[in-house]
Amino acid sequence: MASKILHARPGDFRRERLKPGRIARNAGIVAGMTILGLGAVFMLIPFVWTALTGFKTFEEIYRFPITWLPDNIFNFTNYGILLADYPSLRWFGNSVLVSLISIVSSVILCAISGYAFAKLRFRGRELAFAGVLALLIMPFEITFLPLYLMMSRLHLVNTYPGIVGPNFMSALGIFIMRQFIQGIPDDYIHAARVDGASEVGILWHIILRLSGPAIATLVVLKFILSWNDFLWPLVMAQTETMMTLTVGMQTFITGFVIDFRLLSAAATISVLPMIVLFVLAQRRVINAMIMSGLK
Amino acid sequence: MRWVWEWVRVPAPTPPPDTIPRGLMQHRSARVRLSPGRVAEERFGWLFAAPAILYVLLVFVIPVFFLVYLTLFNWSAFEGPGAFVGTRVLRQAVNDRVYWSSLLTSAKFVLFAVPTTLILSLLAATACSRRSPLPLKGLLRVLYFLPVVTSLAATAYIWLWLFNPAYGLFNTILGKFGLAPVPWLTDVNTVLPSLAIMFVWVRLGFDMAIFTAGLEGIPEEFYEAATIDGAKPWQAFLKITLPLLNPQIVMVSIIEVIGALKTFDLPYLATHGGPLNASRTVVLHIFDTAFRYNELNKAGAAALIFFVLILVITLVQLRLTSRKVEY
Repeated sequence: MASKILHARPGDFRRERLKPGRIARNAGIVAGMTILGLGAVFMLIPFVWTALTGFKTFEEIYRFPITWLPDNIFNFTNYGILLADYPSLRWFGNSVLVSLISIVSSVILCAISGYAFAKLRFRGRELAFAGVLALLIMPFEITFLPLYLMMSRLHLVNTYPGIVGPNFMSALGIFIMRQFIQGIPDDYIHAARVDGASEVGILWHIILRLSGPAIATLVVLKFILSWNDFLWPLVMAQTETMMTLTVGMQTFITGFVIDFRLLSAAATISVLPMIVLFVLAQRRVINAMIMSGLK
Repeated sequence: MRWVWEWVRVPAPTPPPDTIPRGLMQHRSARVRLSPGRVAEERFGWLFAAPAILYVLLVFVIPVFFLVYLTLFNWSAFEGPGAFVGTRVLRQAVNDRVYWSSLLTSAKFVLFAVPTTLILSLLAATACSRRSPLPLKGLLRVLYFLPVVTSLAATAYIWLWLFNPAYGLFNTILGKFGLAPVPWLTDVNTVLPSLAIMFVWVRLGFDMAIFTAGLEGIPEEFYEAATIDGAKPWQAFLKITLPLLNPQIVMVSIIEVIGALKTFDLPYLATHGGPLNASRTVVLHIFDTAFRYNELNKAGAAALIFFVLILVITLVQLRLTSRKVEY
């Protein structure tokens, strides 16, 4: 501002004031920011309220008119109850375990199959890949019922293999790996073959070493999807000790009675890892989620 | 979805001619034998593709046949497969009033939720695009994306508080402006629009991200030319942005229509289908029929009908969108 005044030439200020376009532009920016800012507040309120409610007492939650900040900001009573009276650590551990199994097995299996679809010629390849694509656009909401019945026949209901269930691999993962591996030059593979490398060796030494970005995307994607998964663990986990965090916290809702305190504390624990991940790897998370949605 | 038709449209690369040179010794009609290398490749191809093929069989092919089986044969979770019942279950499902009203509910939900999400995300993406003069665009994009990465199972219940008619935030705000309180999730007429608000909250960031990517692809020169010709910003939006963003708009609407049609967790977590079944969507109906009322056959038939419906919609959309868009 100061330099603007110092270096001003005669007429500068008048011209600026007289320009109706600039005033309209600034007004537009203010209006736009106000609307977008309100939108951002709207997006954030549920998170903020969840985090704050986790520190509140019963009386504060049903207070009217509402108060935003908890009376005692360091009131960890709800978290204490959650830890002491409910198997919340177990739920957390289950979520971690199920996500971990899904991630590891998906990465391994999808990389192997992705390599086959991308680089190896075999009869029936196109048909098999068409199957993968068909699975990709198939809503899980249709197949969960027969899948549950299959699992119950195999006596896998309420077991960890059952809760991981169809998440041990993913059609999207196969697709992501195939697309990426297709971009790896054939020459590398041919050279390795000439040097006497086995297919397994090629897969391990060349393909896996070069597909770091795709694997990272797949890991992020799988972590978000299995951590947040709800319908499948809801169907498969039938005792309290087998529930994942997303399912377990629903036990605080009984009919019309909702324990907002404990739910908020549990929800905060459930949401926090995702927010941390998102803040750490924004680009990759956004790309991964776009991939998962573009089915 | 987009990948499917790209894959369908782009012809598969023709495999290079077999590695064995056709010498004079080889008769033309003789069967071309694969070189040892190619045989190995074939075998390893099958071996490596086996997880994917098994996966497709286990998670897609067998379940779909299972659904057909469920509608045609008697099934009880405890006794196992039973007698052939023909079309009885299917007829039961077709004649089920609740099922059709749940389909109607889902359709209504699509009408409430999808256009709102599309319009708002389009506007938000334009406002936060490269060309927009607004500050803090990157931050806004991140904030709007937050609900996409978090679980609805963890955030849905807080909406019960926001929407609470007595002490909830929304009615408190309305009260500040002297407006009458809205019953939100507790009234037959307002429950679907309220769920649609939640849907907008969940999906806005995702749609916005796709539109933002699309906007980045529109050449700056078009807007410069328009500005030189004296076009107003809204004219540029209507004549340049909208037509050039058409592929993204079509794609997002397909994703959201199917997504809204198969909505399960929103009504399951927030309303359990109530009040008076006014928010009972198809998938919730299938879930309840199977796991609450233990009528697995009926649920299977309902899922099968829904599957056929989604299939038809998908095929129609594939046809509509595989037409080339030319500018």
